[in-house]
Amino acid sequence: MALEFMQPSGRGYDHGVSTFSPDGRLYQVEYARESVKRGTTTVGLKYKDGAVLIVDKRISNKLVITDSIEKMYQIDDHIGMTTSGLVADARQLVDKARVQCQINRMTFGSPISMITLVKKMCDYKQSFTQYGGARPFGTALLIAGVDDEGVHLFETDPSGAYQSYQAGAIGRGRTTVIDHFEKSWKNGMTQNAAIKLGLEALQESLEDSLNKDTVEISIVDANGYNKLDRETTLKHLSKFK
Amino acid sequence: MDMSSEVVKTGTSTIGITFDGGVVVGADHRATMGHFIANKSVQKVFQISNSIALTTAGLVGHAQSLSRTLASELRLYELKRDSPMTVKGAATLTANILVGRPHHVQLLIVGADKDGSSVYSIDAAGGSIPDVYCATGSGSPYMYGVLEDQYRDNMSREDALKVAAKALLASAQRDAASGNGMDLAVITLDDGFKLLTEEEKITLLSSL
Repeated sequence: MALEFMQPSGRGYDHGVSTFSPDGRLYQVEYARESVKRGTTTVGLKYKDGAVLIVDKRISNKLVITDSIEKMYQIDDHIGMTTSGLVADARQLVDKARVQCQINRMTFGSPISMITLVKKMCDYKQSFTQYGGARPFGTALLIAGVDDEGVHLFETDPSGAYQSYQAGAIGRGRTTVIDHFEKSWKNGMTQNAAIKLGLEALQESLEDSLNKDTVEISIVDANGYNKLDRETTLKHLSKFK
Repeated sequence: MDMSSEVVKTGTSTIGITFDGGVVVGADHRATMGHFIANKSVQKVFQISNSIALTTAGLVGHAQSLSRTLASELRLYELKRDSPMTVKGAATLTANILVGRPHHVQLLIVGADKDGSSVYSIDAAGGSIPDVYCATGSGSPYMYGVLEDQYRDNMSREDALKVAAKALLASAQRDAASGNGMDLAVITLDDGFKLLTEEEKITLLSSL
């Protein structure tokens, strides 16, 4: 029954990456977005002097060594990134982003601006939706950074679309987190208030409680990117509980 | 430009000296075009990672291009591996770049890592030689005079700075292509790369 229901618009149009369906959809790109929707929830929000990125690595197996799982990446002195979706795809994008930052430094002698990096990354992602031979990335990025224009928080999706946010999220719990932020995010919050709000929103999107051993928090402000150490992270978590 | 038959003309003085816990690095400020002093405030000491520096002698364009490449490569290495490149690693990488495409330069790669402090001298074709101290450029014979007399194993930071400053002063006095003041920096694993301020240099030079 379900198959027959899908036939009129879908059948045959989800094999090639670069083939539109008659109603104008690119199924492989939409499927790639689905893998993001099944990914770890990561949140980011701006505050008075910077931006916060928070992720719970959600390691279900006790035997896994938590340090071996990476979800929070430093891209350059002034830029950090978290990812949702296919982790292996994410690593390729992280590598690409780091190289782009250094290419900018070598070519122009200055750190890359946020919008330049975001556009570079999205051009790259987009090319996998228009040319055949490889599939799109099953990964969304949440990128926080600081440049001459100030602090920025960007979200990119597998199609190569991007948006700048005051507060955003990617992954499984996106809708819940965004709802929470829409209600509670305020302009000019302190760093502590932003971390608290981010943790609250992340917690609300989870069925169980945040795992204190696998939550990671990073700050981007005028001093650049800084991942909080375990001790400081635990302090924030204890305040929150 | 035939680099194989001609000794590289550098017109510069740079120096690197290891001491107990780190390395002192320095260079003069003069750039020459023949007998003409083209610039009196050239930077010849480049920080390429938290605890590694490069000194350059030779063609300014080649030297600056290399310093950009190395700074980027070392940063990428550190981001990808979550630990800094060793001094030996940086020297080998530089040597490999120069073997592939020779640059008209004479370099020192100096720094501190988990294995201690070291100085590598690197020639235009990618020859890389580790040492405890080294001097490059047209002023190097005068600096080696000071170094051979005054270098000691396991010197203090202060003594190493004094020897470096004396050596650079000597080459400024006797080498026509060196002078116009100097940059001096200290690299340790804990404090990273610390360039001496003007005041610190004045204090140091007046103490000699």
